[in-house]
Amino acid sequence: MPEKGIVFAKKDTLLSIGELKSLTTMLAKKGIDKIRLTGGEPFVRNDIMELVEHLSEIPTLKEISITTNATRIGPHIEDLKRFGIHSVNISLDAIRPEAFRRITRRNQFNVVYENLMRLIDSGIQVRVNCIVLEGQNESEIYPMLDLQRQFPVAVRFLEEMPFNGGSRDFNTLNWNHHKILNYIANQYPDFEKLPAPITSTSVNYKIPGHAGTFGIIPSFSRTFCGSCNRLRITATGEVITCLYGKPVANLRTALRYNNTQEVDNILTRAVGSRAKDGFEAQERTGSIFGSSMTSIGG
Amino acid sequence: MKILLFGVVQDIIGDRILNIDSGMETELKTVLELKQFLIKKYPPLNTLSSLAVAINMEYASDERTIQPMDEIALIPPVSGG
Repeated sequence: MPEKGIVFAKKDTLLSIGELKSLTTMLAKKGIDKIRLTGGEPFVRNDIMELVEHLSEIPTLKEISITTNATRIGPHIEDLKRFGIHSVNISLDAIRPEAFRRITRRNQFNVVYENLMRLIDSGIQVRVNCIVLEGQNESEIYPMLDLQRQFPVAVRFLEEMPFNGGSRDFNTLNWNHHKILNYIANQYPDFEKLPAPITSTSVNYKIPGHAGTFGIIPSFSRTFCGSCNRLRITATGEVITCLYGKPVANLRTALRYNNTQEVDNILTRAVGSRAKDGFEAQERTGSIFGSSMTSIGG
Repeated sequence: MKILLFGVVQDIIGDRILNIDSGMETELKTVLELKQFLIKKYPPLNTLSSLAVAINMEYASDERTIQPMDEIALIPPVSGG
């Protein structure tokens, strides 16, 4: 969350749960077999579990996952498990209460930590996504590693991306993936690299004797673009093929008129005209835009 | 009374859920009394740097009264044990 906050979308511009249900059915028919619910924050919708249940009933979906700030997920953990959710990613840039409070500007560390414990205990695969923010949370890296030492979680360190409400424009990044890995190696020199699917954005490692794993996501260096197969649809129906690019279309009107053919055409065009990588997408955009990951979703 | 246990607290008590029988339950009126009871029964809990009690998914202070239907969880300290 940027210091000045974000402008929340107007309610009537948000896709309803009904619209999201028909959209995900259409996407699955087009061959999408993995869906991740992200945000903003998925659990601010009181009816989000209706969508989760719907996804669990689409037989061709191989993987359903959720990215959350873990403040409101607690009451739903049992149902998530029952609906066969494969993994939950928790966006967590600090694992110590005082750093959490400073970075999130919220006093909710306790509930997040309890929900993290509950999720781990539920047996759902838990990943913790920690963006390494220069000057703000480098000292959280070792405590985060301590978390995966004790618990079977995957802690992933992400490079910072140059759009956080326009407050952090930059063209070079000090804490890039090399520096993060070297910093970890100072403390834990004996990690081993783990095999990963080609479309994975994270490079994952295991420290012998630790219960979990850690990974690094080079979201600024963009070394994974060549194998990226992701498509984002925002809460208002915008289609985004790359986080470094602008939305390329909006599905909302077509969805509201239940125009399946038009939704299909928009998606086919969007995917067919993707930038070859995040650098080209950024060039097309012109300049780094003042959006924030809080709005786009992690 | 059922108490959910997490992390190192699971290791100390040796289970994921701790059941407290109804006879004992009526004597544990506050969070502080519950903590004192548990530490007496499982002394290694006292070696933890902190032990938080959550009631119905909210952290509870020592003075908080426990109701019969409350969902109670013991949350270990963030780092180590």
